[in-house]
Amino acid sequence: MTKIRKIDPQESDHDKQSLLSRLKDVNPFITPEGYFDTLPRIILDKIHQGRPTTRRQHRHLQLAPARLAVAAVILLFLAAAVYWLLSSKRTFNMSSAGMTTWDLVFDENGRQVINFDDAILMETLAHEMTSFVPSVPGDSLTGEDIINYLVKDYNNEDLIYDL
Amino acid sequence: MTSDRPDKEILDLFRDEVTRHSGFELLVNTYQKPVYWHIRRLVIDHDDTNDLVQNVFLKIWENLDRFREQSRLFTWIYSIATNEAISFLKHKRTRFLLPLGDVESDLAQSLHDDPYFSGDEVQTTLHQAILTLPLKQRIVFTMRYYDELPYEEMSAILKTSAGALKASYHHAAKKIEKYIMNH
Repeated sequence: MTKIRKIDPQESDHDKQSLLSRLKDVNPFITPEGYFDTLPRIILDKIHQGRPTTRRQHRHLQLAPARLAVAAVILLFLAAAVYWLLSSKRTFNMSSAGMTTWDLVFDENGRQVINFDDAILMETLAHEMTSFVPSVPGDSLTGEDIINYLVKDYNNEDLIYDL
Repeated sequence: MTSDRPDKEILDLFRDEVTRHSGFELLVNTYQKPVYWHIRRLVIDHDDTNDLVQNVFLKIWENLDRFREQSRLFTWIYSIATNEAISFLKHKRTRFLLPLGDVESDLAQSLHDDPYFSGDEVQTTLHQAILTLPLKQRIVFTMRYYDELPYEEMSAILKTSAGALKASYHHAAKKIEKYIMNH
């Protein structure tokens, strides 16, 4: 525990002499010219106009609990909304929605509308194509198999697919 | 410290409906400088001080009827001014979610660019040193060092014993001297 030295009242202001006493008489703060000539008028005008004190500090403190409660409710709503949105995204299932990668990547004219990173696209396709039979039985899927898979429900065979 | 005008004259004028405004005008003229400088040394910035000084006098106007003369008028006014400055500084911390000390460190930095601060290097260092003190110690130091208030008067304003104020001032002065020596 820190031991606090007792201050001798006689000594109290005595030993601050030199440095502090030399600096004491200079006031480095200044005011705009004529400030004290106009200040009383400004204050008296406010009083005549019946203007209340601005109370900027107190207004903040007085309303703090109410504001905090409103803010807390808003934050809860936002948090719930964000959670709900993220959850629905996480559980979105293309197959249950009757969609395939094709629907996401191409529009109705067969033009690519989303630029997937190739690796992601191939991974997605591989997942969807687990039940797809390779053209050569027993072999792994070839690029041609993938094209066939993507165009299997599409009638216009002249389209060029920019994978 | 205060004007030669006795508080009694101010209060008598104020309590008479007919002379109320001239009584208050006398009060403002008498106390505007001590109130301004007391607040200015605590909050540093002129514009902030100007707002606070106006608030202080508007509060005095609204509450002077309730002044019971249990202390000097000067002490009562100084208490309002001190509370206003403390509230302002605390609010500043709360508003910007700053830890204690950051407001003061910003104020210390701002001295260099303040058009209403004309101090030389040593003066700047002194005020930066004062701003390193905890708020209450800073108030005690300012009241004693600049305003030369007696400890009994400070005790009435700050609701702290004179002995504690003496100790606080002593430690503040030591810290300031040490700061100045090291900078």
